[in-house]
Amino acid sequence: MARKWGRRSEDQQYFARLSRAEVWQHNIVWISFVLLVATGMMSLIPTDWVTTMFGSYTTQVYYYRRIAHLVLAVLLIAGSIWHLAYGALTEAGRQMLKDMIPTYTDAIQMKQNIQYMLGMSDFKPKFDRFDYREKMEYIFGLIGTTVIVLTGIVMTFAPYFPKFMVDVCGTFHLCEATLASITIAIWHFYAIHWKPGQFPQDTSWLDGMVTMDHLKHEHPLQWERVMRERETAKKRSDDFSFLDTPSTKRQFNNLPEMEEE
Amino acid sequence: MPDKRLPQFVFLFTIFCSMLLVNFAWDPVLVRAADQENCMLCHRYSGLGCFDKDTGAKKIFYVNEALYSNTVHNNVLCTHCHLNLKEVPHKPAKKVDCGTKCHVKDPSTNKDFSHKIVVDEFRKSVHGESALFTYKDKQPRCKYCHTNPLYSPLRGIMAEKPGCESEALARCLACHEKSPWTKRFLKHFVSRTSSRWNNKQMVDLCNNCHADEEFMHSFGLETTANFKSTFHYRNVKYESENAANCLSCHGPSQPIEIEEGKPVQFSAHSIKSADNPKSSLFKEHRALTCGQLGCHEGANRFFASGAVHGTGTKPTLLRKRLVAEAEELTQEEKEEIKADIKKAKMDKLQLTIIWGIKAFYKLMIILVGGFMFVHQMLDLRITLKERREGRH
Repeated sequence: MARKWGRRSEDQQYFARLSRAEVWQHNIVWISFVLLVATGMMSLIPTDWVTTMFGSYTTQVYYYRRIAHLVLAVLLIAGSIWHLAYGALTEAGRQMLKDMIPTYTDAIQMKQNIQYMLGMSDFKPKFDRFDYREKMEYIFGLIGTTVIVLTGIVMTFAPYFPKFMVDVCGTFHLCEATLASITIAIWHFYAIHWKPGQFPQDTSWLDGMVTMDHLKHEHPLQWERVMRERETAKKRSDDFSFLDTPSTKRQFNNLPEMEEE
Repeated sequence: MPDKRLPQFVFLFTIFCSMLLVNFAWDPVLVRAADQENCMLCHRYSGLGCFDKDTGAKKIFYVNEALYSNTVHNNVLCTHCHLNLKEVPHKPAKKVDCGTKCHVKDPSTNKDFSHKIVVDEFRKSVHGESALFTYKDKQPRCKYCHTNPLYSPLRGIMAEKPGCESEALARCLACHEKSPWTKRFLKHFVSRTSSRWNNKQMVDLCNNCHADEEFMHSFGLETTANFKSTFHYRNVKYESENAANCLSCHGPSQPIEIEEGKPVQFSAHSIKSADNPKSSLFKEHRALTCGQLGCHEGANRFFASGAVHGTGTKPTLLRKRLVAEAEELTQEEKEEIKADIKKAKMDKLQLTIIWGIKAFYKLMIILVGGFMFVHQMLDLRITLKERREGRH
């Protein structure tokens, strides 16, 4: 059954690919990123386009654009700090960062996947929790955010820095933002919006859940691991099924005894 | 058979009346009041003009009366500026000197009004008596920026209300006599409460000359064409209130304390070379100029260093000057130019580094963006194929 706009169908099995914290970190970053690009690029695109959009309010819009850009930058920095703290201080975050580290296997898989896509090979590599595409995007995002934030701070407090440094930071800020926008539009938007089977969107950004079918197809190694874990858990549950009586349940769960009718 | 033609005197009388009617209908009353010397007898004809004997340039002597009556000079008689015109038809008029007293009374002093104060200030500026202007025809004159402008309408929040100018005039007329003077005073006052040029017009006006590479190089100066790629210009584009135009730095309206306890008021007429100690952009004053209220408050001397709209051609221009004027320059001046070349080289290096960063990112956008696009297109192709075969 087709699923639409985050509604989950009941005949599908789901897997929590993102935790609630990760979903909200993603939401903060993407909302601030999109609005930062919009408010930032307004000073670069031809004036006529902006005046056509906002008419007689252009000057006011341009004035509030700067304030909005600074407020959104604070939001992006806050989201990024939360993400880093989550990665450093929580077990799930540490595991996520560990899984995100690029390995030699990723390079091999990238080569194998390109060969497969080109039709030069029938072998399709099996990806784990994060494939080379996601790792590339995450690392580019990490570097890009660091560059954007540091240069943005220098530009905001420009009078306290040498002019050449402000000019260099301005150039980096602008170029990095352009590069990031283009890569997000091509790389990320294809993967989560335009790829057949994903349209109109990958709804995991809403609750972090993906279907088991999606996991099996896109991340087969993780799917196999999850299935093994589920089977082991089920088996363990079956082995102790003889304990599954009301009295033992109460005993194990330390629940107060219910009055029998 | 009786003659059915109109009598000749009736015919002539009709033509005379028609001409009178046309004349009264066409001539605005205000203009006729200002045109006491009857110059419009000839100058109202749009075809009045000639070609200059030497340059071949077309000169038009037509005066649009309706427009002229709404200009800031509408109350000035023609001969107050065109001094050598004694008879009709007159000899070729001399160039107008804006420092001339024009016999209009200055209401603040009750003396004959003149632009002499501004003209004297301008003559001391870099655009006035600068040694740069070997050829006087290249020098900007008053008329280059001031084209006998029209009175500006009442602007601002009040202007959103229709007819606010007549309401304001009515308030004046409550005490003052209903005369052309009252209307003119209001219009003058309204015109001068805000700058005539907006930021963009100001930049375009300066760039008319300063962005012309050939023209600027003839003075040994860099062009300012790339001001339009700076953050300052982005604010100018959107008419931001505190956007920095050329004058914000070269002739700031806020007083700058270039000497302790002596704030100096600059203007468009007092612009001086950045090498002049009296300039707002002299190296010692730059931090103060950049740190003006509403600009980069708290700017230090490191921030106020380097070229704002440099193009990197300055070292070459300075070297050319050093070679061309080798015999005329003193040893001290030569050393000064050499120091300037060294500084200009540093500015050029900085521009090269910024160019390098841009080039690197352009390459990255092409390579990374290109790779990603091709990769995703291949993925699209294989995914569609898998779906067709039921493998996805």
